[in-house]
Order: sequence, then C-alpha cells, then structure tokens
Amino acid sequence: MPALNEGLVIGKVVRRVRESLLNAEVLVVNDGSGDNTATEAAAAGARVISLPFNCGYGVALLTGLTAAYRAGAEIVVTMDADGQHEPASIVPLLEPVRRGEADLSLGSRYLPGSVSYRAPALRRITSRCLGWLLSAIAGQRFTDTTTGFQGMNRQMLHRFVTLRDFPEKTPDADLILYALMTGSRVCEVPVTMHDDQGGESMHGLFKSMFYIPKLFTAILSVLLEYAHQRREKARC
Amino acid sequence: MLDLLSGTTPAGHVATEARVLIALCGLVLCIWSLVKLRRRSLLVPTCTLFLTVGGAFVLFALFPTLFDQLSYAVGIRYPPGLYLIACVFAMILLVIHLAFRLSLLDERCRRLAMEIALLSGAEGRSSRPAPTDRRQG
Repeated sequence: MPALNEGLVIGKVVRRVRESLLNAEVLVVNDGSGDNTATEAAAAGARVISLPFNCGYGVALLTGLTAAYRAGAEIVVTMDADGQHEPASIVPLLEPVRRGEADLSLGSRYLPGSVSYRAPALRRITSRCLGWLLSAIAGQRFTDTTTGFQGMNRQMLHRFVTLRDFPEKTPDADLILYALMTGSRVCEVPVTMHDDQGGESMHGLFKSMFYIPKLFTAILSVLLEYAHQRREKARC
Repeated sequence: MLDLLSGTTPAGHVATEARVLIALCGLVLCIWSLVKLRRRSLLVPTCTLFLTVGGAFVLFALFPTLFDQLSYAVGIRYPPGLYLIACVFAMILLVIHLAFRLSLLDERCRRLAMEIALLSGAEGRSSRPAPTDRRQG
C-alpha cells in the first residue's frame, strides 16, 4: 500500500483491510510523507517501510512488492492508501488468483457489478482509451487499465520484481501489458471504489496531461522490449 | 574599436584584438576545466568536452584562416554561419549527454532509496516481535 501524506485516513484503511483479511500482513510504504502517515499506519497494525524521500508511486509500489517477495508472500494485493479502494472487495478480487484461474486480477470500476464514484471526465476518457488500446494489443477486453487495486500470485510477483526496467514512472497499463506479453493470465473483477478521502492525488490535471503521453511511450517501450526478448529467444 | 566589435577587418581577416580575445576565452575555459577536474567537481567526459571547445577557440584564434577554409570546405559560404551551427550542435549534444546522465542518476538514486527503505524495514522488523493476528480466517 503506497502512501503519501495519508495520515488522516491510513489508520482506518489499515484496520479495515486487517478486518477483511484476517491472517494477512498489511504493508504500508511511506513515500516520504510529511505528516504522521507512518505512525498512524504502524499504530493500526501495519508493517511500515519508509522511503528516505518522496520517490513517486511507482518506486513505492516496487518497494512494497519487493518487500513482499522477499518475505515469501504467496498472494499479494496492491491498493491505494487513501480509502478509495473498498477493503471488502479484496476477497472477490483474489478469488480468481486463489482458484488458480489468474496470475493477476484487476479490480475494475467500470465492469457491470462494480460500485464506483463518478471519476473525473479526463480520467474516464483516458482509462477507456487505454482499455481499447490494451484490448486491441492483447486480444482480451479490459475496462479499467489504470486501476491500482490488484491481486497477484507469487509467480506474477516474481515477474514484476525481477523485471529489468520496472516502469516506476507509469506503473499502469504498461505493467498489465507486460504481464500479458509474458504469458500471465490476467482477469478483471468488479470492485467497489469510493472517492478518495484525503491525501494527494497523483493524477491532477497537469500531471495527467503529461502522464498520458508518458504512458503511451511506456506501452511502446514494453512492446519493443517484448520484441527484443522474442528475437533473443529465437536466436537461442 | 570597430574591428574588435565586428570581429573582422574590412578585408575579411579576423582582427588581432578579436583573436587575442578568442584565444583568452579558450585558455580560460581550458584552465577552468582543468582546475575543476583537479578538484573532482567536473567529470572527465564533460571536462574533455570543455577542453575540446577551449582548444578549438585557441586553434582558430592562432590560425583564423583555418576556420574560413573549414567553412568553405563544408559548403558554408559565410564562415560565422559554421560557428553558429557548431555552437547549436554542441549545445544539443551537451543537453542530450546531461539528460542521459540525469536519467541514469535519477534511476540509481531511486533504486538506492528503495534498497535503503527495504533494509531499514527489515532491521525494524527483526528488532521487534513478530505481528500476531487478532483473528484467524
């Protein structure tokens, strides 16, 4: 759970996650917060890893995944620390992974059966466009490619952690595309998402305007990397 | 004075004052680069670039016709045009080089921060009792 200045809500989120997943360890990666995020999370029972300074969502995510991998986690859920992702949706989110039907399960706010706040227009349009693009490339329908609410098994975790160039700047659709390209089974599950209850959004208007072209470049990078890997395999 | 400002004499030759000024600029650049290199505040590749530029300044100040000949040889009829093109090209190369260095350092800095956080987290974990679950599901 990457967290930046979520001191107001992190305690509640951690407690709710611990109630939903009784024998799970909650790991909060404090991404250089200037408030009491770390102490609130620790007080709520989470294991806290603090980055020495603000490194961005992608680095915080990779730090959490690496810590989980090194701790021997078999199943991992990533979610936002701002209370946007409903902890009660974790169990249905993990069902396909637990049953062995998927390596990566994505929580979608656009699938029938999901309950979601009305996301800003720019985010909805971006998500839809990326969904179409990813669906066209992967040959599988995706509705919410910018979701941070994901469940994965150890195999998927291993692939992400050992990825040569983890997309730290844009860990979104490109990461899903990477999973698909490496033969992982990816599925979507309808989940409940609330409007964020505090902290700093990583998708402000100006950030989003720059984020979208960055994401398309990152997708291109994944495709090039995959083509390179295929050539290497063919050569071997 | 007019010669110094225009940089060329009416006959098209570089004025002596201008040549001295260019040579001095080149020398100052070379000396500054070497001093910074000695103090380890300038990387060897960047220092090499500055030394090359400074050396070129000195060379063209000592042999001004060389620059004209070079310009005509590459098809540029107006020699100062070659100077401007070379400057722009050098600036673009420098920006690309610095952007590359910055990206590399940014990446290394983030990875280092991540490893520090993981190590600190592992230390904190080993120094405190293992978390116990309130309920088992």
